[in-house]
Amino acid sequence: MNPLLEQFIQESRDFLQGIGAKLIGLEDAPDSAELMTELFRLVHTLKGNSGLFEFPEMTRVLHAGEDLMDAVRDGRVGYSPTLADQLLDAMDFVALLIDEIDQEGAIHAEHAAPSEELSRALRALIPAREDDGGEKTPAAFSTGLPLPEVAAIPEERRMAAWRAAAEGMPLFLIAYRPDEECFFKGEDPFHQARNAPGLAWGATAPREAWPKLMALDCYRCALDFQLLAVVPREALDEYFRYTPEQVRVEPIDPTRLIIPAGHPNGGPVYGEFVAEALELLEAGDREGLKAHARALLELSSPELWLSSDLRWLLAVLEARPDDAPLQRRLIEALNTLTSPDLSDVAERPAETETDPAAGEETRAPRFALGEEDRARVEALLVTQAEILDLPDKGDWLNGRLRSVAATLSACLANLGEPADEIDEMLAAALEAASAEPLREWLEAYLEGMDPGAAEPEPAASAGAGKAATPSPPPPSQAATDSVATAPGGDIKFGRRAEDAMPGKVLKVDQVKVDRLMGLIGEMVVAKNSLPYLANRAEDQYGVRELAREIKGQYGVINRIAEEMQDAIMQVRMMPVSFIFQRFPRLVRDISRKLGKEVNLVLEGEETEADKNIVEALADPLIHIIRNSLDHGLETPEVRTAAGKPRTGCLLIRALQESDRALIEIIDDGRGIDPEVIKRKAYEKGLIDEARLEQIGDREAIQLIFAAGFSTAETVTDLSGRGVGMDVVRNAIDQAGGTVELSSELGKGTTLRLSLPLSMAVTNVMVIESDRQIFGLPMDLVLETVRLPADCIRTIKRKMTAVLRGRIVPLVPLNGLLSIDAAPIPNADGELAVMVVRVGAERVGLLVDDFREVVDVILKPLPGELGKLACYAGSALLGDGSVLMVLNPKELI
Amino acid sequence: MNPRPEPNRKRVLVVDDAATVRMYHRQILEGAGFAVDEAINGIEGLEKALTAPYDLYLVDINMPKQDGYDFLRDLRRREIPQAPAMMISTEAEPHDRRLAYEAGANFYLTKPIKPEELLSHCRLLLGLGGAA
Repeated sequence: MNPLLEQFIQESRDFLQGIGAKLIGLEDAPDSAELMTELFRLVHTLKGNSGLFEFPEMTRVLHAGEDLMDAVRDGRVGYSPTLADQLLDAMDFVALLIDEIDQEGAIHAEHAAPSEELSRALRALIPAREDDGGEKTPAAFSTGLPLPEVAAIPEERRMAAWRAAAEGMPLFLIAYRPDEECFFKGEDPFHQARNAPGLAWGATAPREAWPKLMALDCYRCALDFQLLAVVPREALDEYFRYTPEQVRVEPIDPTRLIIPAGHPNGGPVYGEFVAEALELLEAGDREGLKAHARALLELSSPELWLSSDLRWLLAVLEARPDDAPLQRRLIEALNTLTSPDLSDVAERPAETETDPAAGEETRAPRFALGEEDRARVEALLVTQAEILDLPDKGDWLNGRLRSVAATLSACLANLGEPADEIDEMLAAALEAASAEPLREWLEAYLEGMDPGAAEPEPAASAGAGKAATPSPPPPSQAATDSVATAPGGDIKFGRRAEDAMPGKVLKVDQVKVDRLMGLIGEMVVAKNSLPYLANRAEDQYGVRELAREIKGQYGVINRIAEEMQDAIMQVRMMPVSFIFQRFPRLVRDISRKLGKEVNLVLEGEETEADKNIVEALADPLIHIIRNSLDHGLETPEVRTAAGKPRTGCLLIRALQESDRALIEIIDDGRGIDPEVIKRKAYEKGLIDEARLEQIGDREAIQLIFAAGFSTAETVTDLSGRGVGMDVVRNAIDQAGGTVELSSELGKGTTLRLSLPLSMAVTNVMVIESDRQIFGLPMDLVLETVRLPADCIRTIKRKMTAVLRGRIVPLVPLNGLLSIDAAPIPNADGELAVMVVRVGAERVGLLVDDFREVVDVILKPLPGELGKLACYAGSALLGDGSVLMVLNPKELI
Repeated sequence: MNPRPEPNRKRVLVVDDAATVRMYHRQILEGAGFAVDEAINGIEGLEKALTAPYDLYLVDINMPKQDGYDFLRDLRRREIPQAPAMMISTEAEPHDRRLAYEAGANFYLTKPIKPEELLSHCRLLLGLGGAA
């Protein structure tokens, strides 16, 4: 797929997300102008983007959406949930189209009808504008377009078109009036017209008399295009399918093209020729007639009417040899030198002058009025003050000061005031090489610019401020106001200004960042070889000095590498708002469907975590939210009966806790009933009878994470999709996280997800067992202790030890790995015990020795080895050896 | 609104690499009776300014060889009468304005500019009053 399209798809999805969020936001704050503007901008930009490609189905809907938003923004339409629903539907449709483009590179034709329907539905919400000039009512507009005058088309073009038409091709006159704003939409009407299919002739004409250059707005399209095309109608419709409202296509009879034209040269004197020609025509002697006509044509000057008529006659003889009536009329016309009466078909377009309704009011060429200019002068003055406020630096400062003085003098001249003081101040400023004197003067001047000082134009000064206020506004404020509006070509040109995106963001393909990440990982590992090298230098080659230097250098490289790693991690970090932002829509849709009232509260959206982690969170979170809404929160009636507020509350909170990201999903619903869970689990055979008796409430609740557990009484559209909380737990597990669940019957449920901030680098502890080294992920290691052999007791043939008042089962690692060797105690007879967390339990692993803790890039085992679940993966150590990293969860 | 020949025709230099823009400015300004010169980049602009100083400079930012900022700085370094200069650009960020002012511009207009707006600013910067 081409990169532009890829970019488009990616960006469009962002936009859609944004649009959804803004629409939801508007539900809470329907009057927020800011949201409205932003929403409009998003839809507008998305529409603009789609226009760059051939996706009329998408553009049409977006265009309607844009117009609707425009109307809402202007207050012509009130914002309402129905309107939001419509727009959301439209955006869903667009999202569907985008998916299709992503997968297949094009949009299926069958979407044309829904697209049409959706855009009509959207437009139906827009009230007709009175001052619209018919632009928004395409049908009336395009049929009113003046068609080209056939007679104005050069003869050879007409003839060529006629010949083609004589062979059976349909013939069309086309009037094409591009949107005035088309240049801002990336359209190229000239190109569009030039490349029209079957184009036989084309011309441009101004829509109305050209205004004086001064009043000409060169950023508006003021041209009409007139075309003659010989082509099947479908091809034209297809070609102009993006802008059907701007085009009028009318079929014409080819005969209408036959209009002999030229200099009459005195009058008809060809009686003899006519008689002879008619005789030949009667006799059916086409060849004779042709030769006869050619002979006369050769004798006649080509610009004569006579010649034109003969050329047409020859053309007709050539292409339609059997059309005797037509030929006869052409011949007879030579008697009168007037166009033959072909009126059975031919009929000139009635309207020849520009349709007045379609034209815009001519903007009167006029100079800016006094008050506008006054505001401009004030803006100029304030700008000079701004310039004088800049730091006094650069060897061009003097020039700058002088230019400011020149500008100030000009401003004063405009106001009809003397400028002597400025010269004095300039001299002082130049001497001091500082803007200060001028600045002070200007400040004082701006302060003192009260109505008295501005007496030469009292009316103008009122115009700049708020007219008719008893005490005129302070001039500085008036000046500031005018700064905001006067240089505002950007504001006046409306949509253009809104195109500017705030902030500078670089979009990078994730693959590139991953590659960088991989390279840095390798470098971190490579740098770890330096200490080994230093040791070798010392031990093997006996060069201590060098060893020390290597170690010193290692410190430097280590620091840089760590910073680099940190920096690239930062690049990969993204705020959880990335997934949070879809929740309002999700919650809204689901709660509506279920008839529940839910107040969603999102907190800590700015919390950041690695992109992979955040993405891994999306699906589990959606599932959890569905569960909460479906099973957790009650309907308003049930809630009221239980003495709770009607509206349920769903709180989703993200926070960072040291190197973990925590996500809490808290609802104030009915909670989980442990009795129900127990019964269900027993019914499903997840627990046996004995366990059913023993199991405590807290433990029982955890059963919902068991595979194949689903408490929903009925399978609903929402959460009963055959997957339960076990899927959630697995997904979180895979991302290296944990899930905790607590619930109080009748009060609500809390789920806590804890995830590492990054999965890229794993902190592992290196241990030794049977003279081999293994790694263990540090996040599972609770503590390491050395136990004297006599502290180890055997209970029920299992080794245990009491650690910090708890009984901890001990398991030799060798045994787990089927290594036939006993753990080796150290010189003091102590055994090394590594206490790890497995699920909710603690287990002590008996190993031979502990080594250091290292950061490694954990790579999953490839191919068949990947099935060895007892290993989390392998990593490369600094000395080049491979470290197998254990996965205690599977191991024990 | 009609071209108003000044007794002493004010001289304006348009520094812009886009021929369309130069033509656009020229037509508007000449229509109002100014004498207009063109330069396609800062270097050419400075050469012209040194030969005979102008009363007003209209300067584009992005130009090949030498951009508008450098041109203005060079211009302001010279010991010639320092006439007002107006930066004309599509960039609308405050940052761009600041850069322009620092370099020696006296005002900043954002494209697209309506003819009457351009002309009015030119007239005001030349001290000719606004409306005709």
